[in-house]
Amino acid sequence: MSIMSDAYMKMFPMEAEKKISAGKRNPVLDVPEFNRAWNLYRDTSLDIMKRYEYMAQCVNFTDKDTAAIKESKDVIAANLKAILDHIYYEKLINDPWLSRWFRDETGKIAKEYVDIRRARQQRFLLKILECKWDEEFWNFVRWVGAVHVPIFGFEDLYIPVRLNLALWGYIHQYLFNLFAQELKNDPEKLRRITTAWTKLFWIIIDIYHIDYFGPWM
Amino acid sequence: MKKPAVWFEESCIKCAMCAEEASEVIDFIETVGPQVKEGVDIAPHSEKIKRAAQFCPKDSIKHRL
Repeated sequence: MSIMSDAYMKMFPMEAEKKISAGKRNPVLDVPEFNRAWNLYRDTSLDIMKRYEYMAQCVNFTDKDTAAIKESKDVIAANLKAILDHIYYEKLINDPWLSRWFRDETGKIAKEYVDIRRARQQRFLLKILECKWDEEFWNFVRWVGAVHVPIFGFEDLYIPVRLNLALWGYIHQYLFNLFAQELKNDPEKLRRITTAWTKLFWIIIDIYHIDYFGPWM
Repeated sequence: MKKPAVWFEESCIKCAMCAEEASEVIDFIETVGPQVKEGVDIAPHSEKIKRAAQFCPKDSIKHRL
């Protein structure tokens, strides 16, 4: 203790007492691992590449998975139109809740708007297939999510999280059934591709929803 | 050699994706649709323009690059 700190403690004796928070003291605060976790939390909240790297490491998304996504290009490219038609013309515009965002003021399906959204979905899929997991790509994924909330999109547009999850889940199962059909003679390739897409879907779903939640959620 | 150029055909459905992909070259005006920015040098952005054309849902973007 220095003379100064000694004097300080005499002026403010309560400061010399052992710190105990209002509730039960949390022992985690005392160990270095807490600082590591705090730094990770802070970095992955502020830096989208660190967010991706952390999530990729958690779900074990590796170069092998990237190679498998590239391998799936042929299947997806050959079926791209059918995939998009199915998502948009079979699912979205027929679902009683999801279709709400695709109707005009009279309640009819706004076909031109559906075409625009379908084109945007196509771009999203094509960008995924480029397999460039760089800052530009992840900011794009984040932006696509952000425009579904009122702050960054239209003021009256809010797509509930459950609907995003429902649609991501629907696309997931649709793609997997497609892979299963197209790759039924090559089970090992099917395993590689479906494993890689599963991991990628989870990372995308996380980054897509960044602006839906506070970083601590 | 002819000067590089970008133009849009009438089939455009005004989705605005081209202006997002090649914002250095293309403006999007809600009432009009996509427009090539005045006085911009197109050549350095040819890759982005090709990409915008690739994503165009109606193949409405034509270019000479």
